[in-house]
Amino acid sequence: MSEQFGEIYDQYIGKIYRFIILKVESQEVAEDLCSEVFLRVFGEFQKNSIENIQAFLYQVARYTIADYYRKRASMKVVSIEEAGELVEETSSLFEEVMMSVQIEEVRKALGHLRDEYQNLIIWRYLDELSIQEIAQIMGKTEGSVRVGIHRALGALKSQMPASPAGGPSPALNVPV
Amino acid sequence: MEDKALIAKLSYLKEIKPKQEWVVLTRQRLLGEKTQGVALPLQKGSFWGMVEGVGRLLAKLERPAFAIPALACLVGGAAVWQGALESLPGDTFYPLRAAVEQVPLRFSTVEERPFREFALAQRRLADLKVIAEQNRVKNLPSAIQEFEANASRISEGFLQIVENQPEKALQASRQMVHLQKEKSEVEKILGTKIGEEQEKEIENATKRLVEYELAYLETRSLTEEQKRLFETAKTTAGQEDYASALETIWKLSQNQNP
Repeated sequence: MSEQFGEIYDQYIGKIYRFIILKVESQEVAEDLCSEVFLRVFGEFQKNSIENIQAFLYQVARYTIADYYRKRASMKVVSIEEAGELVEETSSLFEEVMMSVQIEEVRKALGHLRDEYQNLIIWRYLDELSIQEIAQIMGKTEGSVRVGIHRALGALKSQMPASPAGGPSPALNVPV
Repeated sequence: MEDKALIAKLSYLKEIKPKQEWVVLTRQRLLGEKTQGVALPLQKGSFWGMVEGVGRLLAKLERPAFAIPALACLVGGAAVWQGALESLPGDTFYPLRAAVEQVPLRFSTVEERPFREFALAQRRLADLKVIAEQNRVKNLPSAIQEFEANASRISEGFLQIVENQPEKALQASRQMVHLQKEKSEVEKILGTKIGEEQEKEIENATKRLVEYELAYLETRSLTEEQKRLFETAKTTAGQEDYASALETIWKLSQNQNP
């Protein structure tokens, strides 16, 4: 049982952590909430069979974040210094700074979106989930997910500054 | 901004990753806590706690991320352990061997301690013998130092036995005589005397033991053979050859029931 869950943990810890940290103000909070998510899911995993573990993990993550904000009045965004610490491997100081600027810019814009749009963007463009997988997580039809993603992108675009701080990396594999 | 450029920009967020140490620690805490919940709670540092720790380590060997470092640790640890076992005073890994050898001493009672010190002194002499035979000059000063430190503790312990456990003193003295003989052999190979200061202390303790034993034997009724041995021991002690006197007393004690 533990071994099985260990594999699930290894597969999803990065994604769930990222999902959470994009919605909270600090690394420490993200780590605490992420631990809580896996603890809750593991408890459920031991008691009942979970049909779609990915959908369940994201569902629990959303509830956990909601619980957290229920106790907090407003949402904050992490400082640029803190955002810089989130990037693990960079090849030079210049790249590190540029990456931090880019991350902070996108984070800020994303933070201004409503929660549903944030989720759609994270799932589709960061976690690279299929429309079908997102529909399963949200309990909606694939059609409404497509529409939702389109609207979320539009909302994000309106939040982004007019002149980009840096060009996109040509190596990035972006699902369209 | 075009959708494609925006999506590309979003991809920068993929660089956000949790700290590896936190990931590993959380995994251990999460799965470890749940496993312990089924079994009896284990105390930190207990034997079964250690066994469980080794079990978990072995279980992690199945995972490639842990396999190489874990195997490297095991192989490295085994190599260090083997190196420590084969080490001699003055070698890099000798402090590890010395620390391991000290463990039984730390867990021994006051009565047991001098006897364990004897065993250690014999090991130090065996080390000295190997060093002398192999002519390992660089190890020699450390080996002599180690033996002398040990011999010093023995003389203290021996005195304590004579004072507090006279019934065991004869047994200890046998070990002492045996040790002195081994030491003489090593000295012959080295061509020099070792532990001269400690020898005086040991001689003093031997003298006190001989005196104690002779006084005790005078109060006992002895057989003819025992009386002869008693006289021999008395004479030898008079000549200040306490080691020989002690050996004679030992022979006498073996002839108690002819």
